[in-house]
Amino acid sequence: MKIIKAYKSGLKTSLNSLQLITIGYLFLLIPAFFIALAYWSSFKSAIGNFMSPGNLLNGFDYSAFKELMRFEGEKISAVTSQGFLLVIFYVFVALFISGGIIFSLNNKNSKSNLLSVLTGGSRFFWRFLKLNFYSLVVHLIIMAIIYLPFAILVISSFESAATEKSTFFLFLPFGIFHLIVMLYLFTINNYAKFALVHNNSPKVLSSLWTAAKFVTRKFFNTYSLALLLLIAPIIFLLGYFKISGFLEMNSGLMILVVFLVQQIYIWLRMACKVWFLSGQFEYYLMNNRED
Amino acid sequence: MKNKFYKQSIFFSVIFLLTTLSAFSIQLTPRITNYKINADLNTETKIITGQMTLSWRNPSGDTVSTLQFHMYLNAFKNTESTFVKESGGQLRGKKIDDDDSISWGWIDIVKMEAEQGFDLTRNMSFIHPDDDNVNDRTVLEVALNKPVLPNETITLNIEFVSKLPKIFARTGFSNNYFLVAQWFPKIGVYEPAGMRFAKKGGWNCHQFHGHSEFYANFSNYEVDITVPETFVVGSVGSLVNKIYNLDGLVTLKYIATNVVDFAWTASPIFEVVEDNWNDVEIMVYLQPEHAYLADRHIESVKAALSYFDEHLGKYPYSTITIVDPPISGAGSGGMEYPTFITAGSFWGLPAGLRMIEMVTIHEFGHNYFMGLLASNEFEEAWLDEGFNTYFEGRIMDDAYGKNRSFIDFGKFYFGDRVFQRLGYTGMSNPKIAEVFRYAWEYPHGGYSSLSYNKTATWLATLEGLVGIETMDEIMQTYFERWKFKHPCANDFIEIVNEIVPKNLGNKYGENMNWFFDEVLYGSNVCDYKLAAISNKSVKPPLGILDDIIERPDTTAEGEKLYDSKVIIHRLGEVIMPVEILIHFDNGDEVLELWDGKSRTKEFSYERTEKIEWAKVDPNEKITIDINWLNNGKTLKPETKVAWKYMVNFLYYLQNFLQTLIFFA
Ligand SMILES: [Zn+2]
Repeated sequence: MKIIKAYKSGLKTSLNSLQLITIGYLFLLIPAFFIALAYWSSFKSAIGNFMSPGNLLNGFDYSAFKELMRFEGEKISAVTSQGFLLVIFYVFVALFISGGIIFSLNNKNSKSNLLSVLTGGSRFFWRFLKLNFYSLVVHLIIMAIIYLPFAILVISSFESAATEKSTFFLFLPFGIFHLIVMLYLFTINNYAKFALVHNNSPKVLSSLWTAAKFVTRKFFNTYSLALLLLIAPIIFLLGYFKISGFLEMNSGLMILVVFLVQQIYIWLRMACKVWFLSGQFEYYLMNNRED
Repeated sequence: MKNKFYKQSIFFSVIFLLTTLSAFSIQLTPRITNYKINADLNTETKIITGQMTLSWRNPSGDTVSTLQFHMYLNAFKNTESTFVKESGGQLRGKKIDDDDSISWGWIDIVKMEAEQGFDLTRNMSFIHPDDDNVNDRTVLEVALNKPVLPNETITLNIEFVSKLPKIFARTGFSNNYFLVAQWFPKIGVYEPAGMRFAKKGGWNCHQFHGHSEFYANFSNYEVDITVPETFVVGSVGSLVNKIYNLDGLVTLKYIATNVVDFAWTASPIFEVVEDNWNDVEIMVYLQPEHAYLADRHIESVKAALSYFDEHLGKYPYSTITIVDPPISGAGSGGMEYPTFITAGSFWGLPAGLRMIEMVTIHEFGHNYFMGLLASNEFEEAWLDEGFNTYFEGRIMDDAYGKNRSFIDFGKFYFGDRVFQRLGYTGMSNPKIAEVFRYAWEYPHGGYSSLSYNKTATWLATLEGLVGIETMDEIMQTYFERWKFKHPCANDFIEIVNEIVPKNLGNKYGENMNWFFDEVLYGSNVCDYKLAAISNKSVKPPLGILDDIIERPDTTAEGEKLYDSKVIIHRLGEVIMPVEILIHFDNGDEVLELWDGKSRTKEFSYERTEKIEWAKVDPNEKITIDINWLNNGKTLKPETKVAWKYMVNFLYYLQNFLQTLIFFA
């Protein structure tokens, strides 16, 4: 089956792209690390010579935490707002990285490295920005279509004997339908990017339209492949929750252990991103070769 | 164990009636008021048609020529009532339009007759003793044709109609759910001279306020409730009889003795779960979809029953009914009536969020603080809410663990008492008012922070100062002396002033008035700060040292000596005796006591060890200290905490960014 082949080949590609994954990971680590370092120093100065924050090492002390934030929190909140600014700025960086990864995947012959990521990222930045903007608009319209009837139903049932359970189950089909549609739109968005990069096409809207037709025509395959590609990140997520539940950061050594576990998890998330893209890209190539 | 009431047979009920009636003979105090009420609820129009026979005995030496009644449903009659004005008119967040007339509630006395059929209906008028709101119709005065002489009893026959409001606060209906409270003409309390703060005899009958509603005589109630037979009914007191009428209606007779109020509930969909604690019958009336949460209600009310039994006094009633309102009637949740409380839950409520437990324990506690120690909630809300909140915290921490009793989610958790303290110390202005004031006179949302949280916190501080045994003795004495009576601030303070010197001698002075002046009658804050620690080498002597054998800078063995100091500041105006723990670098510890009076205090030591850290109030006894962060200072702060939070911060930030990359 094509999708299994694409799935496996995506895995193989990502296993061969350790450098690419690590470059992506460093894009995540470096800016966040600088802000985290500022966070560390502001936190340290907030603690100063106070004693009660020490209770936060071995477990959690709500009043120590609340009072630290109440009386010294200004120092820390300045840094957290920097983190917020980074997140805003990263909306654009993320597009750049996406472009870099797909460009590198497309460039099978040459080894992917920082240069290929930077080249791809800058070459496709504007096109990806446009593409994502169109996708977002479509998504918002579809959300309005899904949730308007839901809102009407909720408001009308509130006057009668609506309960929280009935409201939840009323919401459930809408929410699930929304998730299904979201993955569909997301898949279209990815195939549109492949088309843009593979053909080096400047036409964003027509790529989106072609991708929509392609994904819809081969809906079963494209959708199953997307679901298949989601399994690994979900397993890693659950595994991380399981492991981190056991780990208490109550000593220097344990803080280091948790740090390593977290960073491995972040790296794995990046690997999953590359796997996701390369798996779908593989499928795209298979079909476009045959066409 | 599930059981619907309508399965109980009438014969069984008669036996039950006889045994309950025999309980009348062991009444604890003579009752001033007796009510016999017939109430028919029309579940379509939401109207109760009632007949009531009321007897009232004049407890004073005065000749009383008027009576006063609470007509509380009139608070919901329009937007001009004091209740709606005080609660910001937030009638379910919207102005009710004319079509929505079913939303409003009111009560009318159709006829009031004294003995020998004398019609008093025309002698009725509304008064507004608390404010100048002429539109408030929640207190009714009746001029009698013949005054009531000292110790004489008057009997009135009253016909009334009560229209229940759509629930936004406390009472009313939501679809077919009814929580019927403050629903009948309830006579006020006539306070003879010398009772509480009364200088001369007079009625104490306040309007219905946004924040307070309880002050009534201990009364006996015999109430016949008629509803469609498909409805499940729960009530204050005990069910003693049930008669199926031919017209599809059922009449249930409830008897409650020696209680200060009467409320009931009805709904066709309640699921009733029963259990027992010793001789007390526990009944939980649940929404069907909350039925799986029955155990959380039952376990927490059992925890409260047994804690109060052990630490305060015996629960004297034979039933406790817990009502779980639907989400659309949530405004009636978290309320207290004698032997009858409303909690609040929602489907899917996680076990680590102990809302049901906290509310159940809190509302049950009102059986003691309000129900048995029947203080005046209008004038001294803190005396029931604050004391009850204090016990709620103790019970929660005892039942579910000090650090996790309220919120318990893996690595994020905290206890109820911690939460209560922060409710006061975390106020934007903890000096906004003193606790001792009328419930409706707390400014700018200070009501709950001061009457609940500050009071619970200063009671915890009192516990810290005098110790848990003495605290329990104070509370038990207060309960024994004042149960089935109407205590006020002075009565509690008198007991504290009696027991603290008896147990602790002169430790805190002749009496504890200074404490109440600070925490109850004053609005100042308490804040002690460990300002500085220093360790300086003692200077070696200078000059020509021929004769000096003992050097001041070393021990006899030649070890180096340090001149070490801790300095403590009193930043707040409130003065509390405090302990200071000083820890030296060899592990030695010294506990100092300070009366806390001066603005600053220094403790000095000349030792071979240096001070490593020091802490004011190391055992966290002075919970009203508004800042515990500045209580301790260390020369070796725990820097790993900053690493811990930084590593997590980095991780969450990366995850955010990662998610953006995933969708980009
Ligand atoms: Zn309360």
